[in-house]
Amino acid sequence: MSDRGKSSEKGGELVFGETIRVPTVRRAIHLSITRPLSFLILRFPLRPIYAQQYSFDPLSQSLFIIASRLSSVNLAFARSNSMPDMVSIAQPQQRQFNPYSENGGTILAIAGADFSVIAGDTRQSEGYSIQTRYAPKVFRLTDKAVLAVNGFAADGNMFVKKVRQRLEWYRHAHAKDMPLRAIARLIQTMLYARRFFPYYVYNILGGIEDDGTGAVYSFDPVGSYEREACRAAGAAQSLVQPFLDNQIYFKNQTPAPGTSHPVHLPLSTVLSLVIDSFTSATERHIEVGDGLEMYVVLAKGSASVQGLGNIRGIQELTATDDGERVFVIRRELKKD
Amino acid sequence: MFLTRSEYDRGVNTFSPEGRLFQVEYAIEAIKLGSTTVGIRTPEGVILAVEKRVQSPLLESSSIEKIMEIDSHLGCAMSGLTADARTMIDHARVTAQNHSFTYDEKIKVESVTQAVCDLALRFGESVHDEDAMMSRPFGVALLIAGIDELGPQLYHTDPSGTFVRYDAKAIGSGSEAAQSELQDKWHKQMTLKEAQLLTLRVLKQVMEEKLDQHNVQLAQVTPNSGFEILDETKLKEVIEAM
Amino acid sequence: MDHFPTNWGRPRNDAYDAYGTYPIAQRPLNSPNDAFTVGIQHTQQPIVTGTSVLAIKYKDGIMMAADNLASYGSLARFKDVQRLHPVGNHTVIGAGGDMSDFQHIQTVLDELMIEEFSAQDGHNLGPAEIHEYLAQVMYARRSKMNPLWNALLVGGLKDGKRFLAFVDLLGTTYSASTLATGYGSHIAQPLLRTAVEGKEDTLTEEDALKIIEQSMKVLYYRDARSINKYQVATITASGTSISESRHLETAWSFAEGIRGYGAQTQ
Repeated sequence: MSDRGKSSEKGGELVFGETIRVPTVRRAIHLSITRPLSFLILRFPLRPIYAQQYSFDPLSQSLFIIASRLSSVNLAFARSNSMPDMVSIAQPQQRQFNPYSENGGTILAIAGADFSVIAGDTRQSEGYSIQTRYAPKVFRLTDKAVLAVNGFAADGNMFVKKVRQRLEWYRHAHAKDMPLRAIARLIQTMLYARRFFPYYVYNILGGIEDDGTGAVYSFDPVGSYEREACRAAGAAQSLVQPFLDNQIYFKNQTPAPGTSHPVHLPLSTVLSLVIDSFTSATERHIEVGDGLEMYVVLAKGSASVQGLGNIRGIQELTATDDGERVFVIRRELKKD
Repeated sequence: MFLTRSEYDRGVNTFSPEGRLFQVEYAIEAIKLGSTTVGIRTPEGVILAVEKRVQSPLLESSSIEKIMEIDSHLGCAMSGLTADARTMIDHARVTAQNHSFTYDEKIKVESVTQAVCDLALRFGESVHDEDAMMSRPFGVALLIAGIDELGPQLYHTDPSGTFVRYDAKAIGSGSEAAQSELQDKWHKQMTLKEAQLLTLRVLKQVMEEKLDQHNVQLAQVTPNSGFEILDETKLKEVIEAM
Repeated sequence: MDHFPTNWGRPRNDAYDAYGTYPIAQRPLNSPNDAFTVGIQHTQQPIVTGTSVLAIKYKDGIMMAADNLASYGSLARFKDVQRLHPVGNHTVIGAGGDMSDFQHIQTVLDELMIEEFSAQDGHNLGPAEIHEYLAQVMYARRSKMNPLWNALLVGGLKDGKRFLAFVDLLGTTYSASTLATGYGSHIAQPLLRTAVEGKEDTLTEEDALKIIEQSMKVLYYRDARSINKYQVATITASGTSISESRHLETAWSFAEGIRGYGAQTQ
């Protein structure tokens, strides 16, 4: 970058689409022009130069060529002080392969005193097309941990696969199942390790902590996470989360005089809230519907187990005796 | 080339016809030249004690460091070529930190011990253009003390990379006498205080000089305070109590 | 010292960016940097393309269909291309998208099957395994920003279990009792769903063929990149079979009187 700011390639105002020459030896050029550029689009005469191959610093009006093979080319540039897509390009612009997609659906988790409920719909879609009516988004990891994954389905499936692999390695190395908070931290490090090519997924981890309390951890695609009492994510997050804020955190509700809001809700109430959340989201969001899977994780010896017996179609997935227990409840959602 | 029997102790990675790795066995011998080191596990915590050989009155005894911290819940005492232990403890520390970074929990005592032992047999290992990292086995044995969800634990590692859990263990030059003494005196419901006194009594028996706060070092790992090396005043109190 | 045991005993590679600190597209190049590297480009768009593939579950197994056209843009370039490919004795894959990438996939899968056969270890890859393998390949290639530009259907039957699943250039996967790629996912999929859903275990081969034929016909009427020549594959307990090319009978006389379709005189 030795030539930075050394010379100006062009004085006065550059005309849109004008071609400037970057000398072979230069890797950085300073653009001295009357009206500053807010950004730059560079092109070979025929091919675009990808954003990764150069960087433009609007502050210093400097252009850095990163890819060495661009050392001597004619650069046509376009300028605009507004949005990038406002720039019309005289020559045909090639689109770059987009490695991401968005597959709809919604996930949700609520923590109780000694249980946790993790749920997701089973529709997978792209645009207006339903790809399948049954693609699970919620996965049992261990007897005390369940992970819900929403966003780009291919990334989601791969991520779950890699988390499971790490859980098994941990089991072999440390002779125990990974505790929930350890899984939460592991998910952060796994997501952050891909900071510059992220897994395009929103994760919600639910389960039972080592102290026997129900827990929910929510993540953003690059690994920011926190423990919460409830969280919704995905296509209908904006529909479901305010409902949960009202029903779980009692936001905008005033308790009757002399009473107070409960800190934790019973399992039956939580399950009703989850079902209502998804039927409502199905009504109002086209990407939500088809089926609902609710995972229930119970702490060791939890009394909530009594209420589960008479639930229609409940299925137990617990692998070991004498510990936490995992159940799944499936319900139909509207398919239109 | 025909190798006579005695030549099998040359290469670090050549078995003798009897199936022995002499260099590893010699390394284990080297520990028996080291100063005596004792560890005792009790339900209240783990005690580590070492003898510091003060060879000269001009030597600053506080500069002899034979007990080191691995993590806030893990400590380590050594005997043998103590310089070799630096590599191992460095690795143990990084492993422990890396574990708590990745998993937001303290590493188990057994896991950190395993990590240290994974290093032990890396001598003579190299891939084409790379230099071997180690040319010989470590000449040091460790007593690794710590507390995790399984309670207080004490592990012994040797240069062969073997590790075993003990209730009480002595290593170094006076280890034979010390170990039989430990076998006599150790009992299940021992308090931390009793263990402190026992380690010092055992050291006292095997030491040539008179035991005082300058030529021994005492450390403990407890559920409340984690790993701590006892300072001279505290050490003096224990010695006086003895 | 290197404190990560997974690196021990391996050749050092200082050029490898272990922490992925670069955006993937500008990772340092580890392969030889010769005169040809400048010319290496990744697929940014498909060139010679196939259109829809359809597949359904029926009583005896899976039925899949694709036409024989490979287009070059809007030009109907190759009119005798087979887009259904058997893999082993229990599986057929069908491809839409770039045909050269599909040929590469065929090569890779054929090599894989030979390798697996040579092992003679009692393992025999079924449709589920082949689909998982393909999904991993497709996802790995998209992650290198060098995708195989296809949408693939994998259908099969092994050990009495029917299997039908999808995978595309992004590595996206899903499974359903009716599947269609490309234009077919918009035009044919609703027809297939109406005809098949809930009847997977009762539809006979004859029924299935009718459904497929009808859907292919609708596609030929509506999809400008299709042709009236197609093949049908069935995968049943007795193995895979891919038919000879069939022709679709279509009637265009209705268009005569419609302004915009028939020849207009004014």
